[in-house]
Amino acid sequence: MDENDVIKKLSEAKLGEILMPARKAALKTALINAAVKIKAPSYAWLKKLIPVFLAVMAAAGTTVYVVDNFDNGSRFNKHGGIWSTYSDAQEGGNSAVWPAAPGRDNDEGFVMSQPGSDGTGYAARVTGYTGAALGLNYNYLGVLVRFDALSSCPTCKGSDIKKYSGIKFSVKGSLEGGRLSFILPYESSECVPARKTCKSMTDYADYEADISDRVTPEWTTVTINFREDLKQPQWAPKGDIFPVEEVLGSVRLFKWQYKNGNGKVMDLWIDDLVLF
Amino acid sequence: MEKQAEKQAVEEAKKNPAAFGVIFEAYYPAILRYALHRTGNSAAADDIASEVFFKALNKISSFKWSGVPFSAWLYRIAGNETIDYYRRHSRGPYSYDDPDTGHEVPDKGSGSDMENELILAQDEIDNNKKYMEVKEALKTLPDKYQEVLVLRFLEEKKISEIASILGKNEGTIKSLISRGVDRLKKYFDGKTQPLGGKSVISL
Repeated sequence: MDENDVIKKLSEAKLGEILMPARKAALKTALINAAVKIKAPSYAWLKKLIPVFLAVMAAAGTTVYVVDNFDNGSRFNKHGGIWSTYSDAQEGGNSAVWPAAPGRDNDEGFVMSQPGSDGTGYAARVTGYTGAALGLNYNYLGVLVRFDALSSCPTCKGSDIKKYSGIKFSVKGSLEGGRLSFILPYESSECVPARKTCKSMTDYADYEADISDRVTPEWTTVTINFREDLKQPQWAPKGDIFPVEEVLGSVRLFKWQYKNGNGKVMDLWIDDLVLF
Repeated sequence: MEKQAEKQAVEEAKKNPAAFGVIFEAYYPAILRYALHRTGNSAAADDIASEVFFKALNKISSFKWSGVPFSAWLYRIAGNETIDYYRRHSRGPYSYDDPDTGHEVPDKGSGSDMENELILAQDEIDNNKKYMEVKEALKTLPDKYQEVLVLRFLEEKKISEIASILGKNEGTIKSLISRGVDRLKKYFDGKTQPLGGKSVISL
């Protein structure tokens, strides 16, 4: 073996791209959250804080999972799950939503808005109004985020998030009326090509929580405990009722849905979406 | 990151710590990759990368521009952290073969994503036979050779960049590389106690 053989061996030993997005996101959150609480240049207490933060997240049962911190302005979350809007238009309704829902003539794909809750970065802003074409309390619009890259059609693969207690996010905005709900949908692994979505197991009678009163002009943190705060609607048929543990065992998306407005305007900003 | 943009980001981060995120986004992948190449251990590399950015954030206000890119400073911290990491963990600085193997990879979403990432990354490293062979060889060398060889051939840094990172002149770097390659040649030739000697190689 000569020197060139050694150099060849070294050059061919490069590792492929190894990304650890969840760990990266956790570290970034720890660094930035800690940094913004103090004034430069004194960060002496950071050294203690960061390992504690990471240790807390790594501990079973108390793990924090960053779904999206919106820092890069992408319409995909940290794990490849896409943000998109929807409305009752596909059922003949005349609710309007911006950014436009996929498949509409003016579909531009979801775009993030600035600034985020800390005055920097991005947030998911959705604005629109509910129509009245479908009768009282049937008009709706909303925004959803797929859990990761595999949870959309055609794979429709669910993820087990039973180890988490709940979900937390920041919101601000305004509602003229109506009701804004956070929804934990239950879908199957069957893709419905015509609707480009995964089949609902509940016929859309999903676990939900009314968060209307949390939407104010100032950023507010909403904390939802999956097992205490979410309920399936009373109108859910018996066959569409499932234990929450079953739903948490196969999660594909989260939704924020504005309904019952009948002509009312909604302006909603969402940031810092994490499971805890 | 372009030099001017880097300077701007660093100056901004000095005034506003929250702006450190720009630097983090720009350099975290490279620093993690360097740490992975140096250690061959995903958990160690993750720890090292975390320490690098903590230290960079902690000391950014004292960072002075002297012709050395900020990224070179990060690499230098990473090199020091690699040695410190193993010192803290009561291992010799050259004994890097402690992969956390033997774990069954959990189903998607069934455990902590952060834990799964470490396991999957370690699997990828362990399954890269060419890397593993080189790692075994590198760990027989003193650290000064390991770092220049990794920077030059695995990280594909220019001689001038390595000189900036290590704070040495280019002639010294070339010499270290030459001697490191020579030692590896002896290793691969089956010699456990490599002799000195200078080789003529193209750098």
